[in-house]
Amino acid sequence: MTTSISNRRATSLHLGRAAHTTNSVGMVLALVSFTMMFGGLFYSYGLLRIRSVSWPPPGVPEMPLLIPTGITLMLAGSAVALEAGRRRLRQGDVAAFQRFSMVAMVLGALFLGLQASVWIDLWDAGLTLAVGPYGSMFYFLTAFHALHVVAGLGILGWMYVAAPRASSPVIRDSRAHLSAVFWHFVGAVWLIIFFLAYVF
Amino acid sequence: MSATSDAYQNLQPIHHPPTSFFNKYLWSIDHKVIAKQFLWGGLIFLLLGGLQAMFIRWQWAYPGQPVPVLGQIFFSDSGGVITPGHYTSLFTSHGLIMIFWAITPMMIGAFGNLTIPLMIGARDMAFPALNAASFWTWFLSGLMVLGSFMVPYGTAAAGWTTYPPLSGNAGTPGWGQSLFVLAIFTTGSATIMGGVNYVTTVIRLRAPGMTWDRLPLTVWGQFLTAILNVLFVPVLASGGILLLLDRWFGTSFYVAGALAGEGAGDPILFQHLFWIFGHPEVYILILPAWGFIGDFVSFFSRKPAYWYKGSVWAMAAVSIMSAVVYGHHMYTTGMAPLLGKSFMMLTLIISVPAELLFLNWLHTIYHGSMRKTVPMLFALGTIFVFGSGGLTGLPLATISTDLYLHATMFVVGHFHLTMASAAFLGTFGAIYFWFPKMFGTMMDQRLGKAHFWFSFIGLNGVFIGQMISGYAGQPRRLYDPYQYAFTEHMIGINQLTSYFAFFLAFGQIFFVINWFKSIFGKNEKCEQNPWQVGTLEWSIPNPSPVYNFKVIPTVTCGPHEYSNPECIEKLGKDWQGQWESLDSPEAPAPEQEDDADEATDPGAEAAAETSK
Repeated sequence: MTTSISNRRATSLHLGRAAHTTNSVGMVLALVSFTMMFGGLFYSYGLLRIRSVSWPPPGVPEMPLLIPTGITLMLAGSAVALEAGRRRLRQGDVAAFQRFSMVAMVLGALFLGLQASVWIDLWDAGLTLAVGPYGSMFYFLTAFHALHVVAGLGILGWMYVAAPRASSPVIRDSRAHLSAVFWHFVGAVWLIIFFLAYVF
Repeated sequence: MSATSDAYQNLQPIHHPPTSFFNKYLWSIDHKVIAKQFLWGGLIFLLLGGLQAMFIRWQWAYPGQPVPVLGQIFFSDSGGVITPGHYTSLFTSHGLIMIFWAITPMMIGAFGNLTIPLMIGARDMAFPALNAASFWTWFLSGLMVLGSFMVPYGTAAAGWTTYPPLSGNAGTPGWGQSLFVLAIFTTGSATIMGGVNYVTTVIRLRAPGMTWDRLPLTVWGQFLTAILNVLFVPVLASGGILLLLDRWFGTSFYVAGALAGEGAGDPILFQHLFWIFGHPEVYILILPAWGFIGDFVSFFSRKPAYWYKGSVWAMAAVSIMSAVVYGHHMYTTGMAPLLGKSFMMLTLIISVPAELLFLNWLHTIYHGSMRKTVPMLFALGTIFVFGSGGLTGLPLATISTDLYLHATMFVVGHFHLTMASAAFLGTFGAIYFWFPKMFGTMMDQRLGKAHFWFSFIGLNGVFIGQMISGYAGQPRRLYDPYQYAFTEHMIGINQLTSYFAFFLAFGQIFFVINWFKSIFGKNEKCEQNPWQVGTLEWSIPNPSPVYNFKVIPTVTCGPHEYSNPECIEKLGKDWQGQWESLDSPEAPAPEQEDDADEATDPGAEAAAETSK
């Protein structure tokens, strides 16, 4: 069987798009799975909270709001930067994508650093695990989310390196799309954790 | 070839056969090899779990007496006697090993992997590398389980349900319990990887013409199972993480009462998380078997499956409802009466779609010309044990009777009939059925029939015996069940039950002989379609080439076209392959020869690129 070059290119585009759809289905399923795991943890939070006598228990330090609000905005900013980068990527500007995703990664790293500073302050102020479910839940939810941020940073870092090397624009954009989906998922979960851990 | 057909051919690259040992056996991305890996692994753990069951039955028949022969090997520190410490580890790890390391890998890991791509006409899974990662993750978890037997204080001993506070540091100190929980978390990750893969594959890689109402019921069973796995295994993972944190870092999610510090957690929380997963899990372990049965009764009655769509909807309805009934495991935890009654009603309603499946199977068999092959016997056996298991579930679903039967041997008998016996018989039916597909030879039918009858009689004897003693009030999990005045007369029925268990174990020898003889012995290669059935996997050679279908077939009909007069007239046989057309019977079937090197589809390179 022989096919002309243009035909072959058309086939390649078609295949790239089909592969993108397949990978998207896989990503959605994986995120559904993550959602159920976080769902189980939020369920635990709710059950422990309604069963406890007082939440927060007396004598624990008050939750800060300034830094947590700041890092929430940072995570939102990193999502915006990533999307701006993807827009340029779709136009073929790989260097601009790399600049924007670097901004996104720096904001993500700052998020982690400031989150750690909140942990240290609260621990020193007396919010330890000995406080009971309140402390356990606070540290666990935020730390478990932080692990997912680390994973997200890993994926963004891989994308930063892989974007200029992709074999075709369709595949490159597909990968950028899926990495961004994971990053936004991590951001969306943070919004819930922010309210559960700090605000309410 | 039309453009759409071309696109289908090119979408999935043709794999070339691996050449290195590493790619062939260790990191094989071929779903058929991964299926065999899961099957071997599952069988080994099944042997281990079965051995543990026999030790438990020995203890209940002859409490405190040394186990003959094997006792000197496994319980040498106590002179062959099963001590209470051994015993709690035995029944705990028996349950967990059977569920996560025997049934799941065999039924879902092996047969999900084998059947899904072959039956939907795909060249491999959607994510072949993820598939291999899934197996090795499961393998790693298996090593953790084996390792947990070798650490100080021994392996997990808090019951298979792993309820705190027993599963906390105070109840089960040491690394054994932690390793086991970690192993469950790890195997859970493997299951989720597999689930994501299976669902994506079924959604995206069906051959042209393979519409949703032409999928074999086996694929439907695996598909729904995979969805449940993706949804509910993560909930168990969340419960497991909290438990590990309690054990390792001194958090207090499940710690209450005297053990707690200033603030108390709630051990009941674990039960919620466990059963939100646990109830879908029992359907996870039966849905694939339902799929096998649905296909086998049609294949071997030479009749179309009765009300195929009804069966599919019933299986889907059960899958959905499995998510909203978990509270029936927790009636005795002080649940609010309104909540308890709601769970009771939902649980009783779930028997309606299950009943519908039963009627469809019976209707399919009715007036069929039944071929009593080994897979068919196993399918019929599965129907029987699942039926009796299902009916005995009703008194457990009903609060008033459950309060009496809770934590008795009745529960043990009930869930072993459904989860253990039905899953066991269904899985072995699948082994006998797809053995030619995997290894190219038939298993011995006489040995297979002997295996069936020993298993069927043994399983029923054991679990009906357990239900009788449970109905009489014998509590489950006791080291010496005869320590109370009201149970001391029950040693007779327990001994009888144990004899059935030993009978069951003896019958497995037939399978082991058959298995090794059929794989390693000198056997004739069987014909390509030994059962004369029409699903796609039989349109290609046994064992199949790495890429399965050289030309992806176009599907023309449903999976159960049997005894159609038009087909008999035109094709001269009583079955129609899903790849065959009645309109142009002269049209040759697509060539499916084993010559990968000549495969030069246009765009195969591009396809190879996308898969990188």
